[in-house]
Amino acid sequence: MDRREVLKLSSALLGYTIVGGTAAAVLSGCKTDASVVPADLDLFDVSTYDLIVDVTERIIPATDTPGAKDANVVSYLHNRLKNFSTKEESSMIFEGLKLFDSKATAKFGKAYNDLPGAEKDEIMKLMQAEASKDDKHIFNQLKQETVVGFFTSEVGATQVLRFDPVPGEYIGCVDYSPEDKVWAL
Amino acid sequence: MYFESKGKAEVTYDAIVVGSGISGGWAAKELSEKGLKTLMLERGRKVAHGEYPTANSESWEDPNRGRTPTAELEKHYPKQNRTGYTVNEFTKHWWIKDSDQPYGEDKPFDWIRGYHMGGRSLLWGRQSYRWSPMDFEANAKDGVAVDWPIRYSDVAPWYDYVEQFAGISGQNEGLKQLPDGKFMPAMELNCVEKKVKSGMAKSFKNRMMTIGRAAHLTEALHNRGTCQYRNRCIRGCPFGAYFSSLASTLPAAEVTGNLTTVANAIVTSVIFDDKTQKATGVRVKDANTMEEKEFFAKVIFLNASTVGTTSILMHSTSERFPDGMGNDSGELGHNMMDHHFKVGATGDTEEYRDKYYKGRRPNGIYIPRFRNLGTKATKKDFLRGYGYQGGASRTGWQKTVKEMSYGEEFKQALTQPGDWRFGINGFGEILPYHENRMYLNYDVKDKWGLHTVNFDVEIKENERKMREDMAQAAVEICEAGGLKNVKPYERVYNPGNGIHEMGTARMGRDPKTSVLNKWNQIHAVKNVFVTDGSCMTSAACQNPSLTYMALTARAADYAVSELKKQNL
Ligand SMILES: Cc1cc2nc3c(=O)[nH]c(=O)nc-3n(C[C@H](O)[C@H](O)[C@H](O)COP(=O)(O)OP(=O)(O)OC[C@H]3O[C@@H](n4cnc5c(N)ncnc54)[C@H](O)[C@@H]3O)c2cc1C
Ligand code: SF4
Repeated sequence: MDRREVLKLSSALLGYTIVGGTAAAVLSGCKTDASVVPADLDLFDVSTYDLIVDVTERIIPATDTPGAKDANVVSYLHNRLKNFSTKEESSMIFEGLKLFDSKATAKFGKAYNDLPGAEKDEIMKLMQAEASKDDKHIFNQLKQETVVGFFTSEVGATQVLRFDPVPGEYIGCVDYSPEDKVWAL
Repeated sequence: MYFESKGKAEVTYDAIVVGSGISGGWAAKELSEKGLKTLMLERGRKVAHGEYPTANSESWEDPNRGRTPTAELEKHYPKQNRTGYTVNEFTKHWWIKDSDQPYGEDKPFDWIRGYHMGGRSLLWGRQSYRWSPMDFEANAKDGVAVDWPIRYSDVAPWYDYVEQFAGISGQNEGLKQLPDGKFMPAMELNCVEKKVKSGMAKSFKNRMMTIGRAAHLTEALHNRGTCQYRNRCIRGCPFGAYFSSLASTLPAAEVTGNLTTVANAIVTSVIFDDKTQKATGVRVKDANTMEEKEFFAKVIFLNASTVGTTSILMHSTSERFPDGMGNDSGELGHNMMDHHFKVGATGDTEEYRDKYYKGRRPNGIYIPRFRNLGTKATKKDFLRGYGYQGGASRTGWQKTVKEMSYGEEFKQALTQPGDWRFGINGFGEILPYHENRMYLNYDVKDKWGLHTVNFDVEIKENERKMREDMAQAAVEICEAGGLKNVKPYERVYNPGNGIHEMGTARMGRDPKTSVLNKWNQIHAVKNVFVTDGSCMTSAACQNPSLTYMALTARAADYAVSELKKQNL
């Protein structure tokens, strides 16, 4: 039985879905340092999941405000693929994601997920350099979707941007200074 | 039949109003306020003001951030979503499912609608403009189609009346092509809109910019609150700050004690009495139980929206009217119009980086018609004209990210507004062409056993020439406004997509060439009034619903006075 099936089975047995860290505790017999794919993200295997969590967090990192991981952007990306992409589009995305590993192997002889942080960043830079010349590059798509997923999330909208659900008034011209930030929505 | 248990008196009213949307709401208010026992029949479900389940939902409360999955859109809303903005998880309960409500297209036609109490009054964009004297005179002057049987002066007092009750915010500008009205205080222009406006003033004699005239309260009115600038109107407004039947006309009708509303009541046809040459009532099918009923009244207002009303009339056949009630002229279903749009220009500016705005204004700017105003300078090689709607804003995190790197700086940059962008979109008049029509498809029935509707509508040479001008003049405006990167755009426009479908039971002076007279009565069936968009004889270029409101109030007033004189 492979790891994901174990997880699915145990979550079914336990009657709830295992998310992130809790799973480690539940499955005490298994390796605990690898992350666990939440059951509803069934398009992703562990290494894809890990890759996306890492890359999106590097795109929008937690600073003094939350980042992509806090916003669960990986789940947004999953649903985006599942509910809005054709088969061809999503296989192109999965194909594109392989670029991270092929670059990592060529440069450091290891898969992307197995690299230390600084080397992952080297790969990110290579991807960015390619993407700046190619609109359709996987890295641009990832960035674009990460941005959408992040700023439409609760932490993104309310803690990183300025959120004003009921403005109460419209003022056409107000002074703006950089600490004010863009309006959410 | 079912009158065994119910006496006829119980299903008899003074007036029946079919449809609870913008025009039906007005009919119900006016008739019941004038003392008529009024029955409103609405084919959709019951919704009360305030029952707006998603009004306060946030994007993150939905796993897809509000987007409706592609498979579901394709299955249930392929036509309703042709606008690209109408159907999402926060609005989809307001739209019909195309899978339930099929229609046919000889040529592409977008019939976008919602069936529920309030109709599209809940969903509309709220832009509200009067027609001008030149709009009511246009057909006569150009020798196009037939003449309107009324003039601006007939409608002007009714515009005053409906504007003051509905609550329209806007700015009076003293233009002959866009008459002033009884407005609430105008919303503000933002810095870049003001910049373009002043640039226009320097460059053009006939082109000017004003703030959109919108059915939003900027001052309290009746029991309704003022606009809170959330711009989530299409989900329903808990404050009742924009005009809808639910927030405005139906509550007024209800307090009279004269209004009865029945939901899930599909009016299938109007009953005609050969002896009196009048309508006696309507036939109804319950949308859920399929039970059939009849209701009776002295006067009937058809407000089921242009296509709905025309379809009811087409289904109302009798010996006297084998081709549909009131169709002696053969014009029923013909002369379908809309407003063509999706053509204009955009530009941006690096100025005003230290300026922003506060609030989400549910309204934009308006550039009133400036072509063919009766002067040599404004004359073009096409008939009629167009206006622009649009506005300026600063881009937010939706910037192009390709050039930017990633990481902390990227994140920081996305929290800052980008440059200002300005865009305008022309809305142009479509001429009434006899051959542009809707008709019943006798081969395909819907699940209620009614014939479905087919559309055969296209734009022609006049509209195409106008579109070229719409793109070019938009560029001139952006340039006069001092914008950079000015670019024209034009996307394919399919009739219906303007959601201003109208004209299929037009008013006219001659029963041989029109369906309705100058009081919106069917020429040959005087106690049936049609006051939704089907009555329109030409389309002008302004958003039409304010005119439907005014014509409805006017016709209701006339109907009641005729009833009192026992003429109906
Ligand atoms: C997204 C959007 C934006 C718009 N923006 C604007 C704008 O800015 N300005 C403007 O002027 N207009 C705008 N419109 C158009 C506006 O909504 C319509 O012109 C207006 O609602 C028409 O009013 P009505 O009373 O004719 O029909 P509706 O408001 O459509 O109401 C018709 C009602 O009749 C009911 N009905 C239909 N058939 C039957 C039947 N057989 N029996 C019983 N009931 C029936 C329907 O369920 C519905 O409730 C917009 C529309 C949409 C969808
Ligand atoms: S913008 Fe105004 S009218 Fe629209 S939902 Fe908000 S308060 Fe209501």
